[in-house]
Amino acid sequence: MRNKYSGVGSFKVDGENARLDGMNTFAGGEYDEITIEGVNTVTGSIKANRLILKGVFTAKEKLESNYIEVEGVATISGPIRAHEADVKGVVYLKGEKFEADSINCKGVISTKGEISADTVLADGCISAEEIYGDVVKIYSDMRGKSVIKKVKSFLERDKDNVSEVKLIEATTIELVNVTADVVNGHDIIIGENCRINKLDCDGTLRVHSSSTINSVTGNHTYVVDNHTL
Amino acid sequence: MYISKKELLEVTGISYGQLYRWKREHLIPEEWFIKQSSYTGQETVFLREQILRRIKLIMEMKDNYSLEQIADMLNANPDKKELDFEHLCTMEEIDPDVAAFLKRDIYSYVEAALIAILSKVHQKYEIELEKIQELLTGILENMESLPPADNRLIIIEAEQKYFGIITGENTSFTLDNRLNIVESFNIEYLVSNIKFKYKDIFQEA
Repeated sequence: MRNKYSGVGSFKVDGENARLDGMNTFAGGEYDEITIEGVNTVTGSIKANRLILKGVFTAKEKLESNYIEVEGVATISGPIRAHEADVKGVVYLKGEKFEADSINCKGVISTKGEISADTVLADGCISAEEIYGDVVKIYSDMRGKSVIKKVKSFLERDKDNVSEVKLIEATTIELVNVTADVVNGHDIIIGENCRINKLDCDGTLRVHSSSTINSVTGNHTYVVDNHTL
Repeated sequence: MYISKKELLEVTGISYGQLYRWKREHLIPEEWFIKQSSYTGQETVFLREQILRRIKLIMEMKDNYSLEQIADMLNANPDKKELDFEHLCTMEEIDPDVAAFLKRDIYSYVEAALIAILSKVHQKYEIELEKIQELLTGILENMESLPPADNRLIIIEAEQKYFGIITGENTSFTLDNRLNIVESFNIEYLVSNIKFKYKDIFQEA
């Protein structure tokens, strides 16, 4: 299946590395480093050491790579598995899992499924059913940010709360401009403009006065702090 | 029977981060995370004994092995045969007389665990070898067709005859009064322990 492709563009393979440009459909395969730029669709899975996605990319199957970088718009039907994922553009997952050791999101991640990573650091926007991890920090602060103003404030879903997650569970959680149904963690900082329905904390809880939490449980030390985040 | 995620973290001292890392790395099977409706919405629970046993095992292993190595040891593939008779008999749990009833060129982890179980029963209860052989023959075919995960082998006795029952780890049952439970073993736990304890000889074989 490897290297099988069709389209208007070029597919250059140099040893274990490959570069795909233009408009293509290809079968996927296993590479050391693969850069995909233009308008491309992969019908099979990709396994790589480094996977760089630019332009408009559609994947029907699994993406697995030590490092994944997304600069354009990637629509993925299968799961993503990486050690390190760097989302500078838009990742739209159609329900499968996004798993990594670390996820750095300066753009947008939208999924109807689960995100699981040791570290999730986002100063872009995330829309997800569930986020699990050790450290989850989402600062959906639009001021001075680009990626086409964080994809027009994540397609203008709200003026402030551009990130929306049903459930966040992590050891350490920091949120700004996030709406969540349930947040469970050990040390939690709820920064500006968050709307949380239920929160459970067993360590230290800091809450900015501009945020609202409907229900708080757990054996925690509570700090009201207008300077929080 | 069940333990909530929150209680699990409290009891074991692990963090959310550890729990989900172990899930991602396949140290804890995804199906063990059971989602249930609760008055607060939805909560994740686990089968208490199963998850506590698994976390104890991971905690014992994690300082000496990578997560990948632990996952490999825990996710025993019952069809994977990697041990010959000579190496099998070097294991302290194995009675060579019992092992001799199951002649194989190479043995799987599950077969090694079964021989270890019957060696223990033979020694502890001084059951004659002939009866152990009958027991082994009776159990083996059924045991090999089942995955070790979540299954328990129970040795019962009736009028000095011995039988094996393989049942789900958390399945309750009631025995006829004339039957006595001799021993009960969690198969997955035994297989994991054998893989862990004898990783060197299994790799060598």
